[in-house]
Amino acid sequence: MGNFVALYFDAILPSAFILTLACIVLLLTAFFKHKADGWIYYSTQIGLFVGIGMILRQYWCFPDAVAIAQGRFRLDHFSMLGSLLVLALSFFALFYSRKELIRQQLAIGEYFSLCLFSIVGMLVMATAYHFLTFYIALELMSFPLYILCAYHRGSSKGSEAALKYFVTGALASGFLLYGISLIYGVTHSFSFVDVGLAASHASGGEMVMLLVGIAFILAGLAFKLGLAPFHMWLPDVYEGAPPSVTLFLVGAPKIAVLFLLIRLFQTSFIPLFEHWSEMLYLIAALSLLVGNIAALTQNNLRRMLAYSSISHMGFMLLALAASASAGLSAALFYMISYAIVSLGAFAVITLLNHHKGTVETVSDLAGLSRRHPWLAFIMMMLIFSMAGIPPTVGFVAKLSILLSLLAAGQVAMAVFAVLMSVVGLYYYLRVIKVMYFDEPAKEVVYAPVVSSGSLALVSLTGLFALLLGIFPAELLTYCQTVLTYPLQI
Amino acid sequence: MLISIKTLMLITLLAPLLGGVTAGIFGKNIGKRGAHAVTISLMGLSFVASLLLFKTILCDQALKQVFSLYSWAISGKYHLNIGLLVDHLTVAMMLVVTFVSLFVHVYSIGYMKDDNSNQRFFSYMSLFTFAMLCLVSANDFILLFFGWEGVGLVSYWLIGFWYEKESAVLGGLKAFIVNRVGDIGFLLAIACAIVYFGSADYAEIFSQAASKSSEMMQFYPGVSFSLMTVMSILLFIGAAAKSAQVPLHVWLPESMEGPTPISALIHAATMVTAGVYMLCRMSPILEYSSTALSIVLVLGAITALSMGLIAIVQNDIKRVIAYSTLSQLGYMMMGVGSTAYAAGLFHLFTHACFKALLFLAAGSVILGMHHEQDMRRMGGLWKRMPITWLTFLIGALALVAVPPFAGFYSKDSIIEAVHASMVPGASFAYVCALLGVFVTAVYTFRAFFLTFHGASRFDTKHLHVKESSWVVIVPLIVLAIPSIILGAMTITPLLYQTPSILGDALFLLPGRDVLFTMQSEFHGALEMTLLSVKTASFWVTIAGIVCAVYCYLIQPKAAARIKQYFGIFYQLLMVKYGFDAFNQQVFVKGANKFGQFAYQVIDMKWIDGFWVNGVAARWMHLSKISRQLHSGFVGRYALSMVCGLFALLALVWVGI
Repeated sequence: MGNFVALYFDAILPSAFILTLACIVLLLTAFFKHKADGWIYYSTQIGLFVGIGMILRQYWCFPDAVAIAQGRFRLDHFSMLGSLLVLALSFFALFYSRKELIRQQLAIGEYFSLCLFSIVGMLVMATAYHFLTFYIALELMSFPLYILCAYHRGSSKGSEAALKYFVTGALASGFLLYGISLIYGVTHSFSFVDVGLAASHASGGEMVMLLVGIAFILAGLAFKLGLAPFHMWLPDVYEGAPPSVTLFLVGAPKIAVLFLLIRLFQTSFIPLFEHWSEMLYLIAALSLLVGNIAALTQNNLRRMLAYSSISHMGFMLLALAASASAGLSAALFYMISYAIVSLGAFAVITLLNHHKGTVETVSDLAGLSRRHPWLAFIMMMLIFSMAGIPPTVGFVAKLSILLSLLAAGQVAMAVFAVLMSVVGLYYYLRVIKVMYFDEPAKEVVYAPVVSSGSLALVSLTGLFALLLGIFPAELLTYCQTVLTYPLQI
Repeated sequence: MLISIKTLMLITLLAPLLGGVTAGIFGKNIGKRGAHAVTISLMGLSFVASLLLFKTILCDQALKQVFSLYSWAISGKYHLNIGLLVDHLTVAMMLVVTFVSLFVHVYSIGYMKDDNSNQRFFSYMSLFTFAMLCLVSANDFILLFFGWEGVGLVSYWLIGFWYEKESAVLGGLKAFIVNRVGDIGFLLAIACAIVYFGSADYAEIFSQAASKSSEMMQFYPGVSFSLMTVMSILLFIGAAAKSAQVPLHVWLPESMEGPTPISALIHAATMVTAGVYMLCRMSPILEYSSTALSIVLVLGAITALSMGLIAIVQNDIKRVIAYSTLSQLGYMMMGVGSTAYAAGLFHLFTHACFKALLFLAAGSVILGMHHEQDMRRMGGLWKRMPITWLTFLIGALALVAVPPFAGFYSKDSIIEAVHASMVPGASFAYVCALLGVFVTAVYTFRAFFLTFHGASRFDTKHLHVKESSWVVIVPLIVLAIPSIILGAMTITPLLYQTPSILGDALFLLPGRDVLFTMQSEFHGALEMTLLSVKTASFWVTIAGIVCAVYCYLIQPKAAARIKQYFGIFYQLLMVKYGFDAFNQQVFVKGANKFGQFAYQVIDMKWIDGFWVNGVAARWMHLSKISRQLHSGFVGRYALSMVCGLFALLALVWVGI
């Protein structure tokens, strides 16, 4: 019995710790107002670090998968990788938030506690093994995000975006819940494993019900990932939300949703693979088309990157649809590298914000190569990676996805994806052209003030894009290893 | 033997390369004098090494050897190696090349003394020598082609050496472009070899030649030609461009825009003979195609006669010699075409000496006249430049084939061979050859008399013409010696001895050997000299010389009268039979028009307009539409989501 308690404790330690941290931050804010701003910032960041440490300890404690709380959670290396990425990406995003919040004169305490609550949701999501756990975790992640989008009360764009996000998000939650209820109706279970077992025996009307449920759940998750045609909120939010919130949004939440998606579809729905793979192809192809086409005429930088993110999610989903184990690892590799690269790109944009002016449109980047050559170089590496130009990581990621598509015999889809990447080149290269060849407008001719710490961190993402592109083997192999866990029940 | 043949080969080959690279890269550091010293000493080393090789191979009768240096490319079943072939033909060619090159190097010190880019010039010359040596020492088509292109490239650099001069730049371009035409033929021939023989190696190809002699090459069903004929003709196209045979000869006169030492080295003695050398080397292939031999013979004959005729009306001293070179190359080709390969090569060797001599002597005249090249403004120079006069005279006598000068033996052998040949077209070629002998005598002595005799037609008060310095004179004297004796010395071992001095490099089908039939009437060089009075060509030569003496020395007005009398013919010669105008009208303008069409219609309208920009514009248009769809109304957002959901459900419905 004691052994069981210890195991339980070890398993929930990271999320419990972050939850406690969130409460402490909230209390600190309540009692000390903004006098505790520094404390809050540092304790959050250090707390995230400690959380990372705890997960690393789990790696060592739990070499094999364990199910906890009557199978509501599952702890294995797959979930640990998810948690680790969530914490690391959040750390990265919050690192740039403080300065940005101060610049916009926004309260720090509530911001960080909201972020921490959302992170708890993500951590639970990565370990969820039960439909209820998954749904509650998803809502726990989403609600703070809705609030964060409207964090800048003075910004009408932000409020509008948050409202749209919330309304459509509610619709998506409805889809999800309805889908879960249908699945429960057929299988009489909330457990991922039991649903999987029932699905393998399902036939006739039961199977139809299951598939309809899957379609609803897929629609809900696609909304969270920002896949067409459930993507409409994404450009508005990326553009309207405070820059620091956008920075938070592009990384960790998507990772968490993807880990859940892989777990759910590989554990519960895998018997019906042939049926839902077509749904994934449809959504992926639409996302590629919509994302790339819409990005072509965007002048707003963050809006353009939002559309680009839609197309990236579509690209990644292709591999999930192809689904062979190589395809899964390609998708995971793609998602990890894209999360880091897009975080880097948004961080560069955030860093360039200045009390004299902010970076809104693509042309605001004009002449960056002369104003801050290193930052321009980093941005170029990140953009190259998004465009998928060797030797950056984006190329390897795209290549492995295409290979998995070809392995699945989906030649037409692979050709389509390549053509869409060609279309995407236009708006990516435009950014580089503007940075390197265009003359800046008179009023923005200032050198960005960047602290060495933020510069080092953002440089890390640029170097990551380059180095991982040259030496991708380790991460690719690791993705493959880690993906054996959700496949074994 | 202290030094192995391989080492000697590598020294001969690489010393000029080292010199050229040193003078080229470190030219600024070592200066003008340094560049002279480096290139000439290394060139001398190369000459000595090739002399030793000559001795080893020819005199000591060492066996022919093949060295593989390294593997250049391995592609599928093809292994392309870079290797050297050392046989009698190679060492003979190497000796000629290094000999002429060395003395042209020395001569250039004097000729280029007022020029500021001596280092560049000497570097090019040494690089040229390297490329030419590669060409003659290759054991397969790959290195042969490297050398072939190498000499072409350096020739282009050197023709345009004075790049401020527009005519020089254009001349260089012309040479380069015309040679590309030949290269197409040559490359296709190499491709044929690789495809049909599976190798680019000479030995491999030649060993299969007999077995493949009746193989047909199918272009498309129903149309097929003999493989050997196709290959030989392709090779001849390459050779015709390099050796300036009609109709690919147009570049050679223009190449005279380069400095005179270059005209001597590249455009007379060595590079232009590469085509002849190559065809001789390919004799095992050529022998199996009477058609190709006939084409070579007839085109050679046409070149020999028609280009000689043009030389009569030229006024630029270098151009006269240039057209004479064209004509003599025609004779060499006739030698090849009549299957008297050895005679063709024999003429190649003697011609290398006396034509280099003539060019260098002309260069000496040009130097003395302060870069005046028009013979109408010369005359009476013999008193002022006696050594130049004498050496030019020796060269001229060798060129017009007066016994016992070198040219007599080689040219007469060719004419006899053509006479005896059974190749179709031989009788036509024989007539051309005899007429060509007359023409040669006329233009040579016309140039000689106009330049050195008669009244001085320049401002003698202001222009002080004096003999050139010793660096110019010494090469003239050195080259004059072989121009006199080389023919008499080498005719027996080269043509009528078994085994001949060329060893087994040349291949002849049994029954085709014209030289063998001629051997019965040959009783040594002395007798050939004495018996020359009984041959037609001798009297034709004398007639030509007499004609020139009358028209240009005794009765200078006669030339003008003849000119008037044959007005149309004169005009035809002045426009060089219209080759240039034809090329200009058809190829240059045609290419321009096609280029314009390709640019404006294919590229701008079709590729750029329709595809590149058109496709991009369609996408932008789509993007604008999608922007309108994204209106910002939250109801529409929800609608899109619901539509998406229905699409997924539709898939479920379809799938069941």
